[in-house]
Amino acid sequence: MSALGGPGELLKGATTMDISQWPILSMLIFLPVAGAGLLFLIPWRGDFLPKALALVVAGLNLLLSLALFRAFDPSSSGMQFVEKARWIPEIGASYYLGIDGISLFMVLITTFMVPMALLSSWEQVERRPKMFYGFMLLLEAGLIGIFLALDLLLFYVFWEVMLLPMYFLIGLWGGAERRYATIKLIIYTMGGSLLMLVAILVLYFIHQGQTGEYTFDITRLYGTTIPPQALLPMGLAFFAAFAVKSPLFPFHTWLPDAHAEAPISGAVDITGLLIKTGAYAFLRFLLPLFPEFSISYAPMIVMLALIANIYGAVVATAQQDLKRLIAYSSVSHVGLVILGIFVFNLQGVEGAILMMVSIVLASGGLFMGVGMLYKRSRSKDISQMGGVWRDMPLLGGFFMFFTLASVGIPGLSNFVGEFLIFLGAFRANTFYGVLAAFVMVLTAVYLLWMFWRVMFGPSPAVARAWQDLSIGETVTLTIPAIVILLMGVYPKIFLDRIEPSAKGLLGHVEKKLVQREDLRAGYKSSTGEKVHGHRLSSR
Amino acid sequence: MDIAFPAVNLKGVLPQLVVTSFAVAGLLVDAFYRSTRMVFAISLLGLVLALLLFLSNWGKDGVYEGALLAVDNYTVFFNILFLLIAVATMLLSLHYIDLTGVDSGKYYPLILFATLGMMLLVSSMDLLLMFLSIELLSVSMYILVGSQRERWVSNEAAMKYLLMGAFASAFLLFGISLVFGATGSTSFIKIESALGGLAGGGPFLIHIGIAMMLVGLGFKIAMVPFHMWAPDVYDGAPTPITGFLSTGSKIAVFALILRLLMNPFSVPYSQWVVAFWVFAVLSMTLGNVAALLQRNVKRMLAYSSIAHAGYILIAVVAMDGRAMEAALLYMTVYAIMGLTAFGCIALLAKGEEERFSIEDYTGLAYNYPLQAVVLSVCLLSLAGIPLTAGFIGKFYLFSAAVKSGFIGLAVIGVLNSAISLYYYLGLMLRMYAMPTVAVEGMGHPLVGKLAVALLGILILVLGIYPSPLLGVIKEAVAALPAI
Amino acid sequence: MQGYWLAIVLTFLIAALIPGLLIFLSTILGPKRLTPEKALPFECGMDPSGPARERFPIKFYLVAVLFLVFDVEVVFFYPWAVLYKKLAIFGLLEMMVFTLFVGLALLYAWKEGVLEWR
Repeated sequence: MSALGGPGELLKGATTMDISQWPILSMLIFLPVAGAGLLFLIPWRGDFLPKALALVVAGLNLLLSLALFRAFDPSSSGMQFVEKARWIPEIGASYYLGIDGISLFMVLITTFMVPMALLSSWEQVERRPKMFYGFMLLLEAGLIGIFLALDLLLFYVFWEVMLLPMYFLIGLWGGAERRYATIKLIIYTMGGSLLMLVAILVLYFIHQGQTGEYTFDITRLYGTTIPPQALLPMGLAFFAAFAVKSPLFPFHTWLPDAHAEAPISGAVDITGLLIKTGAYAFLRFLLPLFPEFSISYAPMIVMLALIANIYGAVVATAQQDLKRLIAYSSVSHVGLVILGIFVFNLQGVEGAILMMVSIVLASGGLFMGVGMLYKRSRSKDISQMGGVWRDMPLLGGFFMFFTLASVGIPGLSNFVGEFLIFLGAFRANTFYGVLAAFVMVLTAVYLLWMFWRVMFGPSPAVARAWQDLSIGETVTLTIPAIVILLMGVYPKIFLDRIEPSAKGLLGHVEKKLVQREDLRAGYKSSTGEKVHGHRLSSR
Repeated sequence: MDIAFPAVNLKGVLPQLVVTSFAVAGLLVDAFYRSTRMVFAISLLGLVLALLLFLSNWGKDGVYEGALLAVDNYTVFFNILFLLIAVATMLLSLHYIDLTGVDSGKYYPLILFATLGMMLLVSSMDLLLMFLSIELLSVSMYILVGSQRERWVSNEAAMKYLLMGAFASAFLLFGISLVFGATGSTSFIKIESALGGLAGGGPFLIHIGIAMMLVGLGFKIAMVPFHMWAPDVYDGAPTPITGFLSTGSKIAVFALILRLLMNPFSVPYSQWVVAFWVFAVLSMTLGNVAALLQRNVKRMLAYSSIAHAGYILIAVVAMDGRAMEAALLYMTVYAIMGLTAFGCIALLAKGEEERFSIEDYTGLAYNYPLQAVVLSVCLLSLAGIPLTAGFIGKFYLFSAAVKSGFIGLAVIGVLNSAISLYYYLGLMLRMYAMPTVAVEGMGHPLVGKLAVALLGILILVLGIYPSPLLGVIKEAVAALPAI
Repeated sequence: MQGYWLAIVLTFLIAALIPGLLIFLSTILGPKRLTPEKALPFECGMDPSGPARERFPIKFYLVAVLFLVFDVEVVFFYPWAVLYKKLAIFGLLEMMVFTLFVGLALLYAWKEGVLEWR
């Protein structure tokens, strides 16, 4: 294993040390599955018990992931808590899970947001809440699977399967145009990832041609040398799949629809969790598997990211629908995340990861607020609001907090991520940094304007008696607010754990590029590219 | 003139004889006692007995009866598959045909005869036996399709199938005679050796012969452009028979095509790759696009079955060891999916009336939870979503295509999968939507429910842990001549 | 060799001559009463022309199909009879199995009422 040059680097610190000897990663995936199974299979009477069960399962998962966080070794850049078992030996697919500093926070934020989403939809799902909660748990399992899978086929399985609960959640509990939205979501995301399946297969056979081994283990595949003529189509296939899900600018059109039609708690997951998988996959798969593609096309990708950043902000300004506005603000923020990834320096990557986590928290919080508002007003139209602060000062306060967090006020979570990304961008290219910083202003404009229109704007002349937040709702909003504050004030807890893995990733990319340059040099003086491919991978 | 007596080895063909005898016995029992239950029991017993006999044949290779029949792992694998398909069809029919006015005394023995046709078809090592088995299969199917005598769509379907089928058979027969003319034999082994020494893919005549045979066989597998009959016939036939037709009959002919291309026509095949490429692309694309437009569930599944024939043709194009495994795997998986889908539709009938229209499926999940869940699993599998058998099957097919360098074909395949998501998932979501009108629930027999539930579980099990099946398929493919 | 061929030619000639002669004689010697029915071309029990959508009893077809089946099956007896000695016991057994199945088919057809003229 360590004889292979490239992959060994990332996995040097691979430890199988289990503090608790539990297959903790599998438990994280299968606990929600089991919970969903119980919800679906048992003919429950009444709604309270299944809801409570779902919440208990999601809460247990959160505790599990916190235990994982405690046991996680922050000094190591390698995969930890590795679990490996044979799955389909005929084709070399294995059940291979592991976690590092990049995926750790993805998992944590998932296990954190799912109970939040369940809580915030506690009163709001009127039809068949049992099924709704079951699908939420399945969604959680799929998402965690994506973040933990180290086998390309296993990853693909989770990547696709995760869409199904999403499809049901929007399709059955969504708004009026839900059919259109679900179909668009499925066709976009699955169409994108099916092309990736072909690229995975090509990679699999190239790897087999070079080493004689059939495997989907990504740590092995990292060492594969892609022939130059295959680089662009394969890289594009992976890129398209991830870009659709991120969603990056030209592929983003499914998001506002899916978002606007999603049920309130489903929407929390879309903004935060679903789209985060795309950015995560860039880091885990596109960069290390195709470093040459990533570097040589980085300017174009960065351009797209910047366009997304500006475009999302501008379009968000024009939205009348609160949910659509937040969706476009996600498009804008995701552009920033991808910018951070593709500037290829430590600050950018760290910032991107932090940003992903904090987007989930901040827009998740905003969304829950919108949901609570919607419960009273039955409207998402900004012009129908106005003067909400007067009726509901408590909600107004939380709303302001989350809006400011999204804007990126220092002391709150988004600021740290954005700041790091700007640093990285300036280091890479001053132009990127200037442009991105300019968008900060735009972001502040549309978010604060939205806040003003909702909270203080002229209210329609209809008498309304909206209750302020209940205690349950207050608690629901307080928890993410605390985490946002924590992240903003003391980001070191997060950065300490991200840094080794981010360094390892960038080191790997660099090393592979250097190897490629050696190869190029050798290529000119010799015949047959394949021969060198062999030399490289057996070195 | 001396007559060489064939070395009679009845042991190899005993299962076929058993099926024949039990089918005849079933017909006679029906004529004398008019007892549907007895006919059902006899037919089922025959199938199970044959199944047990085949299981004991596993791993023993041999060519029997003067090279008319082959008994090797490849044929045994398919024979077992056909018998299982037949058993499932019978179980799913049990209640359905009583409701819909089918003469059940002849129905079950005819299923046995059709199964016999399939069994002989995959085993045949001679063009004449092949033709006879196809006819046995087809004639039984014509009658089965038209067995709902009171429904005019059923009659229309049977008539259409008969006329077009006879036409296709004529093509097949003409092709066989041309091949005979070009090589001087109808035996696969002798054709192979006659063609083996020839350069340039054999004489021109053989290519015309193959083209003619391809028309006849292409009709049976509903490959575009010979697919016109399929939607009407699938729609009109009694639903369990639709499942039987779209799985058993199609798989049998596919298994034969694979053997033909492996064994006697391996030399001329090299010039046919492009043609199969085109057929595969046409079948996939037309099937999926047409299925998008259907408002009738059975017609939708009929078009999707055309598309699935296109997927299997990917393996015919790639045609190496992995492709063969992929083809066998996909056929097995497709058999399970087809039976499940049509079985669920049969079990969703309200009284004597079936639910054809997509609108009828709105909100069915709340009155028929089992059928809806199983049908959902099956639709997901047909769409090739991971964790279902359909994904593993498609994965194998595409990987075979990529391995043989047909990356373009694999890309077209996955794009088609994306198209198919639209109608499969649309139907699935509809079942869980809130019903606009009250859906009256109706009791359905336990046997049928049990059968579809088992099939549904099988889809999931194979999707999560396919290794045992893959091992069996590897052994089955190993029986064929190396490519 | 030539005489051999001549004999065949002669046989054909005589075979043509005798019936021709008989028909010729009967047209000269026999009485003639021409009716419209008699002027029609002969077809088994049906009007040779008429509307296309004519109804006809299905039992004709059942009998015809049954006849075809048994007729074709009987054809198999000829080659067997010719090679009876060479095939010996194997042929006999084969033929008995074959006859058994034909018999079963007849039994089935009989029991299903094909032979009854209803």
